[in-house]
This record gives sequence, structure tokens and C-alpha cells, in this order.
Amino acid sequence: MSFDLFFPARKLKQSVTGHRISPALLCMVFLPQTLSPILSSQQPLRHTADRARHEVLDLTLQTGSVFPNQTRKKGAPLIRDYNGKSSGMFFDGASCLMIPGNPKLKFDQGDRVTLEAWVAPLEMANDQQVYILGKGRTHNRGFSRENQNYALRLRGINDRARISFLFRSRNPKSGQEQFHRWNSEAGFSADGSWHHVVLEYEFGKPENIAAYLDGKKSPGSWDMGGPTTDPPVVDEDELWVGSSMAGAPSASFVGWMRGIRIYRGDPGIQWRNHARHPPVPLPSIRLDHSVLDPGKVLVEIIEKVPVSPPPLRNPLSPNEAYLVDHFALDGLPRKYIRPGVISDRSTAFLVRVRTRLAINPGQHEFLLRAKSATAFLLNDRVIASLPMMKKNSSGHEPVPELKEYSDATLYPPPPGHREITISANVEVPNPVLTVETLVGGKGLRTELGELLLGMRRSGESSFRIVSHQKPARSMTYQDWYAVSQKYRRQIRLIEKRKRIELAKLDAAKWESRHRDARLAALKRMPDLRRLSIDRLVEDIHRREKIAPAGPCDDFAFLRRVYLDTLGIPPSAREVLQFANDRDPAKRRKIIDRLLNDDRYAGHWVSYWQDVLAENPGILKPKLNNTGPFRFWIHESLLDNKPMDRFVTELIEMKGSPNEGGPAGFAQATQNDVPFAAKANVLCRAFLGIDLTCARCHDSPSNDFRQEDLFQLAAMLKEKPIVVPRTSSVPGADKTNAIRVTLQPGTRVQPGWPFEAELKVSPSSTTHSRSQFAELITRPDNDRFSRVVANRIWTRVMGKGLMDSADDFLLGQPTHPRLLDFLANSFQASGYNAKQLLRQILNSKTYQQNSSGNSRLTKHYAAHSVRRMTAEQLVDSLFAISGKPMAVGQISFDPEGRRTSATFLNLGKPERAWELVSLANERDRPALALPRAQAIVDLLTAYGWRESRPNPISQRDESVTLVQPLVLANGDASHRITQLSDDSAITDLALQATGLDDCITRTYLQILSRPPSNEESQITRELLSRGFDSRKNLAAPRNPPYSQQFRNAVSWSNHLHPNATRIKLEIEQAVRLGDKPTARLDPDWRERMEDLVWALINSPEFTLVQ
Amino acid sequence: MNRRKFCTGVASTAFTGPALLSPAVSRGSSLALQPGKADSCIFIWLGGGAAQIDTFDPKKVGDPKQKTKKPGSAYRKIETAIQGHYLCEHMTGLAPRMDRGVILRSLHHDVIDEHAAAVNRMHVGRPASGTTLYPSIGSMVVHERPAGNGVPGYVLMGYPSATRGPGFLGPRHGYIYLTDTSAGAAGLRLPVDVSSTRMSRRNSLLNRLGRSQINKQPKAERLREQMDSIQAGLKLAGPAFMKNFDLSSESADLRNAYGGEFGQRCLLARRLVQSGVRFVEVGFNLNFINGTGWDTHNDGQENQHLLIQQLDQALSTLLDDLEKRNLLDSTLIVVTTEFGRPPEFDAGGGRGHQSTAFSSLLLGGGLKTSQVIGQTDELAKKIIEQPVSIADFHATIFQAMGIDPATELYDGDRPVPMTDHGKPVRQLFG
Repeated sequence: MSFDLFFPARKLKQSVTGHRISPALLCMVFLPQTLSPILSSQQPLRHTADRARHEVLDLTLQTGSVFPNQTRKKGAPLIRDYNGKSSGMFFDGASCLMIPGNPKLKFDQGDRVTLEAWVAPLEMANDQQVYILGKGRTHNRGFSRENQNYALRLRGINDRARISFLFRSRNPKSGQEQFHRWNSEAGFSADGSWHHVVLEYEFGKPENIAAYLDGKKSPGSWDMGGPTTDPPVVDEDELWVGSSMAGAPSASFVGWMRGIRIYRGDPGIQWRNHARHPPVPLPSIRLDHSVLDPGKVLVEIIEKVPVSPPPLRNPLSPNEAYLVDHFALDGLPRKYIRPGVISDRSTAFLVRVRTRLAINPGQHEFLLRAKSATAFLLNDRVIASLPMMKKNSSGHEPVPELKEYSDATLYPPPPGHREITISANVEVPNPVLTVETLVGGKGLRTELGELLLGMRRSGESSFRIVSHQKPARSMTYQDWYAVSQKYRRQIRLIEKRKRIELAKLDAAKWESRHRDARLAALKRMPDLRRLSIDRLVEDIHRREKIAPAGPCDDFAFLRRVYLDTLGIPPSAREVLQFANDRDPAKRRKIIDRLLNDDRYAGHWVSYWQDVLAENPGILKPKLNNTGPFRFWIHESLLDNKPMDRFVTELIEMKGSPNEGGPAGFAQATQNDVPFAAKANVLCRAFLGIDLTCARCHDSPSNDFRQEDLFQLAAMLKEKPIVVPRTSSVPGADKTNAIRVTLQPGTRVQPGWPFEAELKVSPSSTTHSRSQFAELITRPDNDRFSRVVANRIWTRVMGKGLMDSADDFLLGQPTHPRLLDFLANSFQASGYNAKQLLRQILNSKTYQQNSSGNSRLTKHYAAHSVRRMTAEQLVDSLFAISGKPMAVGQISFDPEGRRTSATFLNLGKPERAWELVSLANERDRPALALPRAQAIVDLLTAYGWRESRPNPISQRDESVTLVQPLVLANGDASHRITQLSDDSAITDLALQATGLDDCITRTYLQILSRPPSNEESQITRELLSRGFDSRKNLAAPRNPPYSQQFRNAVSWSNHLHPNATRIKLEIEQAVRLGDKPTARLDPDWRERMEDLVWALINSPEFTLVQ
Repeated sequence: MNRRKFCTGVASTAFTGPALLSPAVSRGSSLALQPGKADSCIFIWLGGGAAQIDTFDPKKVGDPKQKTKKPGSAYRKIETAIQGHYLCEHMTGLAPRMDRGVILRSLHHDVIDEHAAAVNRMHVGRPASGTTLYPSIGSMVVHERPAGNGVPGYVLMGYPSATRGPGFLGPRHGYIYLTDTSAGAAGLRLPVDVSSTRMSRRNSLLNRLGRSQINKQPKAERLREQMDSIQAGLKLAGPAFMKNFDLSSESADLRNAYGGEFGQRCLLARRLVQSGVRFVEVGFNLNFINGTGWDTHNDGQENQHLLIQQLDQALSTLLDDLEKRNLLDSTLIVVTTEFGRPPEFDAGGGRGHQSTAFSSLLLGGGLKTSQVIGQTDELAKKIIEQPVSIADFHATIFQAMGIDPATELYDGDRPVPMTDHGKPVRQLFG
């Protein structure tokens, strides 16, 4: 017996809103808000009696059958049948299927019901209960709101979706009703992959309940209501698939379903047979191309898509979208979560790039480059695809040969990328070109790499990047570089806008905090507005009877202020402009301009990397490593995030642990009490309390005990901490002055030990992390503003107001009033670091001559002479040469075939702070990164820390033999001296109007000052011969340095002999450095290079005077 | 009184294992021992984790090819000059020369899962604490016994890393490194396009321009200091020291006797030691020889014997060469690695990691040689006699170099002992 039922599907009024589309994005592009229709108006419901033993209701949601032949065979491509019929029904969380009540759907006491379904949910929050199907509880008029005859649901527990059964019983005697819920122990991850679920129950016999997940029986237990022998409530209400309770969003299913069957009686089925062949989710959804901007390329990112098989034309609204000029993407903008911190996307997501291109019909050729599973669609028809990337951990693969192109306009793709050329017949004009690519997946890093679509129109000789822009860009390395640089600039703007949008959500809270902060500061120092740095410093000079060193000249000022803000010296042009500027306010103006320059962040980030012990490891990090939260620090500086907010975000440790969010701060690999280490970092950095000793014993230098540190650690952990055995000192006995007061095994509760020290006590906040952050940054805790203000003051003045920036309990401030003033000004400005800097840099105190006399510098009667930090040195070298650092990608797995927990990818550094230790600890030449190593050598020699397990505020600045050597002979500075075609000094030498002009500009460019007479004389002797005939402008330009280094070595193939050979060749190439320009006479050029060499190695260059 | 002065420094002492493995080497004070006579140390690093059972602690022969993967040594054993003790059959050069050395068969620690952490443990001698960055053994040695003028104290032949660096001792106690004997040391070798004539032209230009900077600001002390250090540094890159890197001045016979790139590194190490360098770390993990270097997982095992043969050839030649020059007593050769490997074979016929028992060699250095320290069970898995912790191992090296292993170093004002209660192996000292 079999018959069909017809029933209507209705769109629910209530809809799930808001959570898919980031509010930051709405301002950028108009997004299609409505979902495509998800099913036709009529769906068949087949009802069959199966071999008389039981009845089955088969809610076949779409036409077509299970595709047993579509399970993936080994080696078969993952993407297949893009045009295949839809084999599942998509639920968007705002729709459901409603089946009218009918007798076959009713199950009563003594009935045995079996519910079966294939489900591929995309979302599932913990504690959420999502309906696969439910009889009753629709909130339909005329029915009790609680009339659940039976329901098959998924329940989120510990990030797994478990099978859950729910029904409502009615006691025949009392008439009392109650819900009864049973949950399976087995669960699965709601990542969009298919799972087969079955639930069997016999009403009246609570022991007869069983669940099967993917064919395997799972134990489970009754929780709410417990087991009951009472009968269920039964009525004429509808059965809904995919939602319940009038469409409550939290009860609504998001994802695919199919093969839903309801059995009466004993189905007698081996469920593992049924579970064997998962259906393939290929919803046939047409994309809405009306959203396309005629002159632009639309990029959409859709998260939480299934991985196997990769989805196409995924019907979910994009989480993010933006418009670009070229069909060429170099990475993606980062994702952010409130309060504006870097976050991870789902382990796999879809990137869809499309544009409507004005081309005529005809036979055209396309060239597609991408990393992983990708489809290329011409007017929504798939015409080419690339396979899924495979994860790899072995290292034994052969090194792929870099493709040789007959077409000289093509550059080779980077490691791990694949390429395909397609000849396609475009039948209609202005077709829509769409590329969909899957990013990430199990075991892979979520990196797009370089996604590129090129086109060669019929009759054209070479490929050009698909774009509406004129002139078209070819696919040469130079053009790609130009396009990608522009793209990356645009990405940074998009990111900034997203951060600002998210930050606004909390703006009111912070504004009110800053109002309180200002009031508290003014209360503490009522004459704050009348005071200034200079007045206080003059008082000091009067008191100490000391004559200040006098104001410095424009040249010294400009170099100093550039290095203190941007971390690089001014260019020759900037020096000249400034020196010739007659505006009396020019110093104030340049300070404002420099503080608004994004390069400011690139200078200050390294200070906080040291202070906060940012210590990422790029290979299986195991040495007390953190995540690379450098990127969050950098963005905080770009946004000039108020420091109280900075501290709060750091302590809340949200966002991405391995890709740059503050969650990376929480990590300390192979440290058994990471939060003790973190508590110490925070106390030193923001409270000036040093608890280093308390890790293992009571501090002998202050009154803090081990327990104090562990209380704070427990606050960060938000639960009690058990003291491990390592946090002790064996053999600490009477002979030692130290005491171990916390025995291993002690359980320490969260607590605030500084009530006496800082006079602030916890309020009742629920989360102890937030409480910790609040205690540090509260307006009535002036220690915070004092510590941070002193840090900023110390860094630019070269001399701090305390003996130690990390330990305010050690000694007294050298100038208490000055410290009070700086701290209160800083606090009154809303903890605005740039505002404090502006005040300092504009002071006469900062703008004094420098001196090595410590009595003068101690009382700020002269500016301190400092040596450049390692980062300043490296950045300055590249700045004066005008060359990009071009060290390539900092990763041992550029292909991205392991997760970021194993291999970090720190991107392509442009400045020194972005580098990291390159040690692979295996000494394998194939893992060397010679270009970056050259920079790391220079950095390390000058006191940069390759490894930062502990926080420091003051680096070891000792003079070593290696420093001048690495600067004189090292591969990094070698490039700086080489006058190649991309060198600013080459341009300078070519453009100089005469010998003296050439010499002056060279001095300005390198030392930010004109030469003395003696220096001019020496230099003239060197350069006059052949000066007039130095130019050979007809000579062709050489390609840039970076171009020669593309190679396919990655972790997956580094054990292959070719990998070693390639890396050794690269080492050689790095030693050679840049090709010299042919536009300068070689003999003269060499002498000019010698001058550059002598100046960067001269004593003045590395000093900030 | 400043209470900081009392601060003591065992930052964090890791749990060292079951009672059997507690340091039982020498209970007495190391002060009672004769200080060692070595003036320099060649620290040969078998990166990747050399299998003790296939090298210095051979046991009954196993079989990776059998289906059951019978555990045991991959090679047969041969007799050595130390009565009743054996090396693997590929060490035909070392075996008769072992009267000049000591086999340490009972090293152990507790880090196995990742090379970086184990390499770090072997170089700094203790677990990372997160409260400071500990110095490597090379940096500690040069801190205590600096090299003479015009010579760097510490040279590394291998890839640079923080693990081999000076840690809290500061960059003055760091290394100069080279990754290839023919290319010369980074920072010392001249750029490819700079001839020595051009370099001297540059130097004289720098001198003149530097001096005129000082003339311009006669009161600026820092300028003067900076100029002095530049001149001192550049002197190091001058011919007096740089000639040591020129291996072509050695006889072809000797160069051939040392063998391939690793052998040439050993030869260079000898020349550096001769010139007064205190500590030379020689990395030996040329992974193209067998694919994986000493990290012989899977296929790496197959050609491991080629690595062993190169090691044997280079070490034997180095021993003879030093002896001939009367330098063996004053040069301690340490051959060590981050951990050993188990007797069992993995699915690919190679070996995993084992840190509970592994071996090292100590040669020359004025030690009481011709000894074997420690003993393992019949498969080199468990130590059954005289375990030697990494702290003890370091203490032994320090002692051999005349440095008291109990010396306290200072991280700012915080004292940190050179070893965490390490005791030198008593039998090696008079």
C-alpha cells in the first residue's frame, strides 16, 4: 500500500536575523538579504507499508534518490557533478516544512515510533535544541502550546550535536503533563557534513529507547522529566520539519536534511546499512547577480560550509563581502569579533568572487590559479575545477618543478597553488564569471593564498588579469606585485573599518569610564591644567642648580622625532622641506603628522612585544611560546586604542589564538602554569609589580608571596589552580634566604592580593578576567597611569623616572611631581598614548640637545643619547635605501597544509617587528629562510630577542664585536649599500644636480643632516672622478630582488634532496643580493656604494642623539 | 639592606623522574674533584636524535624488514679499545681509538615530543621556565672563560637559534655562525662583490668619515665608544683571524682524511680551537645524506649507516690530528644529541624518539678516558646503572673545562646557578 500526500510549505513570519551578516559590512556593499526559495510549493510525502511488519512515512524532501555511487572513492576528485540535481533540502533557520496532521502521524501508548533522517547542520550552539522534526508544539491556534507528541532534535553539548528525543506525557489519573527528554551520549560536529540519525522509542516503555548515530548505537540517558510509563499527548496538530514553536530561531535548523522517514512498529533495519551512503548536499540555488557592481569584482565570504564535498553556490548569505578592482586576491581581510579583535573563521569557508565582464561572444581563454577545491563558472555553469588540497605532514613529497612558461608575461604561482587554463566559448555578451574556492578544511590552514583569474581574449597574445580597470594588468611579476600591493592596502582599510564598527558597540561604556578617569585625575591634581612638562622640569633645574643643554637644531630634532614616532629617519626630501619651512609652528605640525602616520604602529609594536613577552614559534611551538598577538598589538596602535581598553582586551584574551588575536597571549606552551606567567607579565607591564620570583618562592625583594601570584593566575584562569611540583625550589632550606610557602598540590582560589598595595578592591563582576582588567584600569587605581606614562616617557626620553619600569616598589621616583603630572595628564586624556606623546614631543624638554653627561640627563637638562634599537636599525636601513624588505613568507609550510597550531604563517614582513626566530631546531638546510635570516642576524646582534619567554622593558644594549661585523659584512646591509634600480640612493645619484648636491642629499638621506666642510671635502675626493659621466640612462632596468626567489619548497617536500639544493641556491642568491643598476657607471657606482657603506657603518648612524 | 641580594635562582626545577633516575653519580661536592684541564671544547651535535642502539650502545641485532619488526640494533657490534665494550660495526675508526674517550650510556631527560624543546634542554641544561631565557652551554663557557683578544669565544657551525644563544647573559656572549665551511662565517666573510682591496678602501673611508664625526661633536662620548667597537670588530674580519677559515691551506691528504662537509667542519673546528676559540659547536645533520639526518623515522633508517660512517671517519681523523698537534688533552670533544631512539622499529622501518636512555661520547679533554659510564638494559631502553642527568652532563663538561659547575650567573640581580645541582661524573676526574 502506498499513497502520496500533498502539503504546503510556508515561510515563517518570524525570522532569524542579524547573526550571519557582520554589521561592519553593511556599510560597504549592498547584500542580497533574502534567501533564495528553498523548495517548491508542493512536496510529495510517500507513505508505504513495508513488508507488513511496519509502516513507513517517507518524507522525501527533494526528488532524486540517495546517491550511493557518489561516495568518494580514493583518489577520485572531490568536486564532481556541479550541475547535479539537488539531493538535500536546505533550511535557512527561518523556514520549515509543515505537514498537516493526519492519523498516520499520531503515535500513542504502546506504539513504537522510529525516526530516521540524514542531517547536515551548519550551526549548533551549546545548549541549543534544534528540531529535525516535531509533531505538535507548533503554537498553532487551537492547540495547546506544549502538545509535543514526539520530537527528534539535536542538542548542543560540549560543541557536539547529540541526538535528542522529546515528548510530553499526560498522567491518565491526574491529567498532569510533563516533558521528558532523552539525549544520546554520541554526538558530532555541526560543520555541514552529513550524519545519519535514528531514534527508536516505545511509548509506555521508557527502557525501549535507542539512538543510532551514523549506524552505530549510542547509549544515552533521560534528563528532563526522567523516564515515564505515562502515555504521550496526542492530537491533530501538524508535524513540522526544521522548526517548532512558531519558528523560534533557537529551535530552527540551519543546514541540509533529507531522507526523513517515520516508521511504525519494528522496522527491522540494520541501521549501519542505511548509514553507509551519505547524500551529497548540492542545493540548486541560483545566485542573484543583480547585486554585481558593473565596474567591480565582488568578493563574498561564506563561513561554516561543509568540507566534504565542497559546497557550491552555497545558499547562505555571505558573512562578509567587499568590492575590488581586479580578479586577483592576495589573501583576505581578517575577521574580527567584538570588541574589534582578530578572530578565526570557521575551519572551512567558501570564497566566491564574481563579476560581470564586458566581453563579446567568442572563444576566450582563461587562466585560473587557486590553492584548494575551486570551481570556475561561466554564467553559472561550471566549466573547470581544481581539486581539494591534501594535508601533509611527512615532508617526503617531491618538490614540484616551477612551471616554465612559453609566455614571458606569466610569473610562476607560489607553493601549493594549482593552475588551469580553460578555453571557453562565450555565447552571450557580458557573461558573469564566478570563481568559488574552498579555504581551509580539516588539518589545513585557512589561507586563501593568491587567487587569480586571467583572460586572453581571442586574438590577444598574452593573459591579463580580469578587471574593469584600464590599462589592463598583465600577469608579470611586476604587475601582480602592483595589483597585490593595492589590494593589500584596500584590505587594511576594510579591516580598520570593521574594527572601528565593532569598537563603537562599546563606545558609551568607555566614554563614561574616561569621564570618570578625567575627574579622578583632576581631583588628584587640581592644578593639572596649569602645569606643563617644561614648567616642572624648569623647577627641577632651578632646584638642582643645573644649566640645561639648550634647544637642538632642526636636523637633530627631525631625526630624533622621526625615530621616536615612526622608527625610521626622514628622507632627504623631508629634511630639506622641514629645514626650509619658515612656519614657527612647524615642529608642532610635523609631530601631528607623524603621530597620524600608520608607520607609528610599526615602531611602537616592538616595545610591547618585549613588555608583554610575545613569543610565537613558527614550527610546532613548544618553548613557552605564545600566539602571534603582535598583530593585535599592531592594530591597537594603528587605532590608537586607549590603553585601558588595550589592557582589557589583552586580559579578556578573546579572538584568534594562532592568527594574531589577544587569545594568543593566553598561550604558554610547555609551561605548566601559563596563567602564572601571564599574571606576572600583566603585573609588571601595567602595575609595576614584579612577581617573577613568586613563580617558585616568596619574593625576597618585596612583600609578595607565591600565593599572591597564584591567586591572580586563578583569576585569569577563572577557576582555582593547583600548584604544580615545578613551582617550588627543592633544597630551599634554612641556608637560603628564600621561602617556599605554597606546597605543590595546594589549590589556590582566584583572588586579588593588592588591596593594601593599590587601594582598590574587587567589585562584584562575574568574570574574574574582567574583574582583573577592571582592577588594573579603574580610574581610582593611579598606579596604572603612572606605570604606563613612565613607560612612554622612558622610551622617548631615554631615561625613566623610576629605577625600573617593571618594579615601582624598587626605589622612589627621581622626580615625583613630574611623574604625577605625566600620569594624571595621561589619565585625563582617557589613557591616550598618542596624546601623552604629543605633549612630550612638543616640550622644550624633549627638544633639547643631547648629552652623555648623566647628571644632565638624570634631571632632563639634556636629551639622552640612545643607540637605535635593532628594529629601528633594520627599518632605517630599508627606509634610506627605499627598498622593500622582501623577505618572503615567514612560514615553514607556505602551502598551508598543516594547521596554524603546528605551523604559523606570519605573512610577508615589511618591517622588522614582523620577524621571528627562524630556528627549526633540526638544522635542516631545506628549512632555511635565507632572506629573512639575513635580517634576523642583524636584529639579533643588536639586542632583538629571538625568543621572548619573559617580559623585559630594557634590552641589553651592550656593545659587541659582532654588531659592527654584521652591519659591515652581513647580507642585509649589503643589499642597502647596493645601488640597484629600486634603490632610492640610485635615484638620488641620478637626479643630483651637481657633486655637492649629490653629497648633501646623501648625507641628508642617511644621517638627516648636511655634511660638515671636512666631510664634504673627503667625499668630494671620493666621488668627483667620473661624476659628470656617471649616467647611462639608456641602460635597461633590472628586475627587483624579490623576483628571483619564487620556489616550491615547503614542509611537505623539505626532506627531498631537491629541497636542500634549491635552498642552497637561494642562500647563494641572497649573498649576491641586488643586481647593480646599469644606469650608473660601474666604477663611479662602486665608489658611491662605498660612501653609503661608510655612512651606515659610521658611529653616528646607529645613535639617536 | 637590599633583600634582592638574597634572591636565589633555581627558577624552576623540573621533576626529574622516578627515584632510580635521581642523580646518583657523585654525592660529594664537586670541589673535591680536580678541576679539568681542557681549554676548549668541540661540541659535536648530532641533530635529530641519534639512535644510541645503532651507534654507541649496540645490542642484539633486530630486523625492521621482518613483519614483526623485531626490536634491536640495526647493525652488528665490534670490539673497542675499552675491554668488553662495543660500538656499532660502522665505527671501525673510533673503536680502536676509544682508549682516548669515554662512552656515556645513561643520559636521560623527559622531553620527547618535539625536537625544539629537547634541543633546548640539551643546550641550556634545564626546562624552560618562562621567567627568563637561559644561556646555552657555549655561552656559559665563554662567559666564564672568555677567549683572548681578537678572537671570538664561541663559533657555531649550523643554523642559528636562541637555544644556542646567550640568553640572559646578553649578546656579548653569543656566537658567530656559519652554515657552510666554504662560505665562511656570517658577518666575517666579505660580501661577494667586495674584494679585499675594496674593503680596505672602505675601511679607510670609514675611518676618515668617522673621525670627522667625532671632530664635529668632540664631547660625544658615545660616538667615540661606537668608533672603537667598529674598529675592534672590523679587525676580527681582518686577515689575522680570517685565515683560519681557509681550509685550502691544509694538506689535501688531511682534508681527504676528514671526509665530506661534516669532516671539513671538524677540520675547521680544529683550526679555530688552535687559534684560541673557546667553544665550537659543530652541527652534523646534513639531511641529504639519508633524507632525514639523525631523525631516522621511516625511510631515514635505511641509509643511516652512511651518516655513522662519516661521523666515524671525521672523528677518528680529528682525534689523530689533535693528538699529533698535542691538543687532545686541552680539547674536550663532546658528541651528543637531543635524545636517543627506541629499539623498536616504526611502520616504515625507522625509529621514533626515546629520551629515557641515550648515549654521548666525551673524547680527550684531559679526562680519565678508556671508560664506559652507565649501562642500559638488553635493548638500550632502560638505564640500569649510574644514570646521568643533563645537569650532571653539563656539570661534567664545565668541570672538564676547569669551571666550577656550582658557579652562579646573574640575570640582572637574580642569581642563576650554571647547573641545577648538577654533579660531574666522578670517575672521569683525578
